Amino acid sequence: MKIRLMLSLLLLVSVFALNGLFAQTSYDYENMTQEQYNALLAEWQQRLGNAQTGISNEEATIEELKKQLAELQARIDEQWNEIYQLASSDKAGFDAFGGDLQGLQNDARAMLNLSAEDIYTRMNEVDALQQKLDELKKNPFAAMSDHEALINSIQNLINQIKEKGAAAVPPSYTVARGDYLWKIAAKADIYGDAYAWMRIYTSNRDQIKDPNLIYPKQVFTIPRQVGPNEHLVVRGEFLSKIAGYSNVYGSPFQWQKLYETNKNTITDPNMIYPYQVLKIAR
Amino acid sequence: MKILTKAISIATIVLFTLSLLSITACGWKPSEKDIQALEETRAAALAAEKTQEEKKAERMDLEKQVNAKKAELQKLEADKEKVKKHVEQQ
Repeated sequence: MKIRLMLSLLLLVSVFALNGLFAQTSYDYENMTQEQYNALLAEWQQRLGNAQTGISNEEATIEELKKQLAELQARIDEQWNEIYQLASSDKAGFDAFGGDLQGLQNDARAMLNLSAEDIYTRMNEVDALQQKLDELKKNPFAAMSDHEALINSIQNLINQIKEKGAAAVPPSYTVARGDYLWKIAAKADIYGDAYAWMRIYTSNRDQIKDPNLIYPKQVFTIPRQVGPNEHLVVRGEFLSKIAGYSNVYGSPFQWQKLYETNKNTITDPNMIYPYQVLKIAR
Repeated sequence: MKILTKAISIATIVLFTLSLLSITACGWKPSEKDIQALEETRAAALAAEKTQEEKKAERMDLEKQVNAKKAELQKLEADKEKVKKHVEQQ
């Protein structure tokens, strides 16, 4: 019995001792050797030293960079002032110029989105865009690289608009033997309506003296759209009514102006015809 | 009696071995002060490394800004010459 008791005690003590032995393999302070401790301390001290040196260096560089930044900003401000002086303007003028260019670019983009026919009828506006751009090009700020690029982009847009509008420019028809205006207008690829002969006649007044007399090989323009400063008469219209339209003169009393401008195609101011194209003098 | 003697001697041997083992296991141990010193050094090093990283990022950002300003200045100098020419031509 005593032996058993002794052996059990021994076994218990052995287990505790072995536990202690195995516990030495984990990384903790309880079982750390002096060499390990010293190595770790040295490593962290070195890392701390390196980091502190690094911080000092970075701080010195940051200070230097801040100085450089301030100097550069001062030089930039100086350059701007010189530019304003050369242009006899100021920042507000510069901003306004940029705004004008931006506005023009937006207008040009909107115009380019229109159909070829719409562009053709609004060629006046395209010309106005071009004029405005030419005017802006005279501004000294136009020479600055950013504005130069913007101006080129706007010019490019205007050129595209013109090109697109040109596609809607009326095609032409070469008169063949046996043709007469009524017959040409009735052709399916012309107007498909014989009554539209008046349109061919009024659009080619420089070539047609008498609508009953046209000659082979004469080349007539066949307008598909009403051009800028033109009005296509429709059934039920009369001169004072047309003159009253807001896109014509906005006043019926100006019908005489309309009559004077189109005297070569209107013999009697009380008689105008559908398909007749009237010029609008501005 | 003989068995008891044997058991006692075995127990003595075992205890002796164990005591030897415990002696070797319980060598040098870091004191509380040592532990604190190491922990503080470690924490300080980690914090300093973090600060260094932050400073590095700040420095790099400033370098970018300086480069951008240099380019802006160069462009403005060229623009000024262009404006000058434009004014002269007008």
